[in-house]
Amino acid sequence: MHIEADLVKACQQNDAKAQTTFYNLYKSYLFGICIRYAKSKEEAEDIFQEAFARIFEGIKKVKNPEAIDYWVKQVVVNTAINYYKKHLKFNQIKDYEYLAYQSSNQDHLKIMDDLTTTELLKIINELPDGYRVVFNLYVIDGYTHPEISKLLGITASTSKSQLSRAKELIRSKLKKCGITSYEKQTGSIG
Amino acid sequence: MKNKPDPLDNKFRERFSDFQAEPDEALLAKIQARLNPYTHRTQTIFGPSVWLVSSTLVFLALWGDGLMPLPSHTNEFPDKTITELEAYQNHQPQKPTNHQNHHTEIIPRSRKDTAFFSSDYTPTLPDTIKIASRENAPIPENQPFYISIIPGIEFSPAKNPETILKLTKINTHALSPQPGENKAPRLFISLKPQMNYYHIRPDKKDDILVRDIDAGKFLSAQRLGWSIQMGGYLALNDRFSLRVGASYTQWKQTWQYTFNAVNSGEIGTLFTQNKTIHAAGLAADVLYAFRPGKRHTSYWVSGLQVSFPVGAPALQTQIIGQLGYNWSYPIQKNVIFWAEPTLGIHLNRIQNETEPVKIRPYTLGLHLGLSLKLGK
Repeated sequence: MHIEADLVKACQQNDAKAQTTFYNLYKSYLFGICIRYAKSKEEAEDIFQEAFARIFEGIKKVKNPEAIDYWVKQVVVNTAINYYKKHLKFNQIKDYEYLAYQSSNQDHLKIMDDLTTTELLKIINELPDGYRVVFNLYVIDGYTHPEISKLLGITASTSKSQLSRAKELIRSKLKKCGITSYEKQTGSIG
Repeated sequence: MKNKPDPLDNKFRERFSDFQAEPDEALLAKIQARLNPYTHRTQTIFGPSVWLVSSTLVFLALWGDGLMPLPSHTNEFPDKTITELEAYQNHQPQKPTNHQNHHTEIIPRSRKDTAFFSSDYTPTLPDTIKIASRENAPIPENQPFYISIIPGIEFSPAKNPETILKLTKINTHALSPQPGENKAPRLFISLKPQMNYYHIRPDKKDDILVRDIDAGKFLSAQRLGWSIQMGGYLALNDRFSLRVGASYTQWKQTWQYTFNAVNSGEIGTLFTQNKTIHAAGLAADVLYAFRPGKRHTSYWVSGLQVSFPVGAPALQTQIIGQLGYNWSYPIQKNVIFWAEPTLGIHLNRIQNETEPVKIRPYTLGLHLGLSLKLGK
C-alpha cells in the first residue's frame, strides 16, 4: 500500500516511468472489470482506454492515495456505465425467454460449478446491455439498488426488476449449458 | 440493503470479484495518444520506391543494350578476347564478293599452325587461310578432322600437308542464344525460400500518438517464409523474355516496436505481433540474357508481383517489386534448372486495422526452378 501511494504521487507529478508502472500494475484488474461490463472484447478495449485516460487525467486530484484501488475501480465502472448510458433504455427492454424458466430448482448452481470462468463470462456478455450493467453492479461489484438507481438514472424498482430478469435469463442459459453438456457426455440424442 | 442472499449471486461474486484479464499490449500506446498531442516521427530508410527506381536505372545504365560491356572472354574460346574477335569482324568487307569470300593466303611454314590463336594475331586475316603445317608434323591421311571452335570458325578436313583454316565472318550475335533457342515457350515451376524484413512507421491517419518507434535499426524482425510459383516463359527476342506465373506464398510476420510517450524516452510498451500470412499472387518478370551461353545463361530479372492475402480484406493487396539475378543451366535436353536470388520490395505498405503502424516488408529469396522447353 505504501508503495502504491508513492506510485500515485509520482504519477501526480507526471513521472512517465511511474505511469507505465501504474498501468502495468492495474491493467489486468481493470480490464477484467471492463470485460464484464462489455458485450465484446472490442467494447471492453474502448471502455478500458477511456477509463485509463480518465485515470491519468484525474489522478492529480486524488487526495487519498491509499484508497487508489477503490478510486480506479470507481472510474472504470463509471466509464462503463457512461459508455452504455447513451444506448440504454431500461424501461423498454423487452422480455425474453426467461419467462419460461422460473427458478423452480437449483440445478443451475450445479451446472455453474462445471463451467469455466470464461464460459460464465460469455453468459454475462450475452445479456442485454441493461441487464448486464445492473447484474454487474449489484451481484459482483456490490452496489445497492438505490446506488444503482442514482448511477443509471432509473428507479430502484426498475433496477430490481432488471436484476431479476437478468438472473432468470442467466439461469435459463445455465440450464441450456447443462443440457448441452449432458448431450456431449452421452452422445447425440437419437 | 441486500435482503435475500442468493446462492447464484454468491457464486458469481466468488468467480468474478478478483477476475482479471490481460489487455492488448497496444492499448497503452492508444491511451498515451489520448493524453498527448499527436505528432509523428517517421523512420524511413529512403523511399523504398526511390530505391527501386534508382536501382533499375543503374541496372539499365550498366547492363542495357549498347552500354553493356561484353564479357572479356567467351567460354568456347577462352584465349581470344571478344575485342579481338570484334576487331576481326570490323575488318571484314561489308559485302564481300564471292572471290573475296574465298580468298586464300599462304602462311609461311615458319609460323605455327596455331598462329591464329596466339597473341601475335592481327586482325587482318582473310576469309580463308591456308596454314602450312609445321615440318614433321604428322597430318593424318584419310582421317579428316573437323573441329568447330565457335560458330563461324571451322577447321576444314586436312587431307594434304596444308591445314586449312576457314574463317567466316564473325558476328557477335553468334554469341547470343542461337535463333530459336530461346524462343521456344517454356513452362516452369519454382520454389523460393525467403527471408522477410519489415520496416515500420506510424500510420499518419490514425489518431494515435506514436512519438517514436524502436524497431531495431529500422528493420525490426525477420522470419522465414516460402513461395511456390508456376507459369510460363515467352521469348520477346533473343535477349528478352517474359515470365508470367501464379504463386502461393506463406510467411510469418513478426515485428516488435516500442511506443514512447511525449517528453519521455522511457515510458513505453513493447508490442509484438506474430502472424502467419497466406497469399495468392500473380507475377510478371522480364528476363534479360546478359550473358548467354551454350551451357549456362545469366539473366537480370525485374518484375512485379500482385499478392492477395488469403482471408484478409482486399485493401491489404500488396504490390511487390522484384529484382533478381538468374542463372540457368540445362540438365536435360529440354529441361533447365535455374537459381535466382531475388530482392522483393513491397511498394504499398500494409496495415491491420488494430495496429497504429504501417509495415513495409522486404524479401530476400532464392528461386529454385525447373523449366521445360516446349517444342524443339
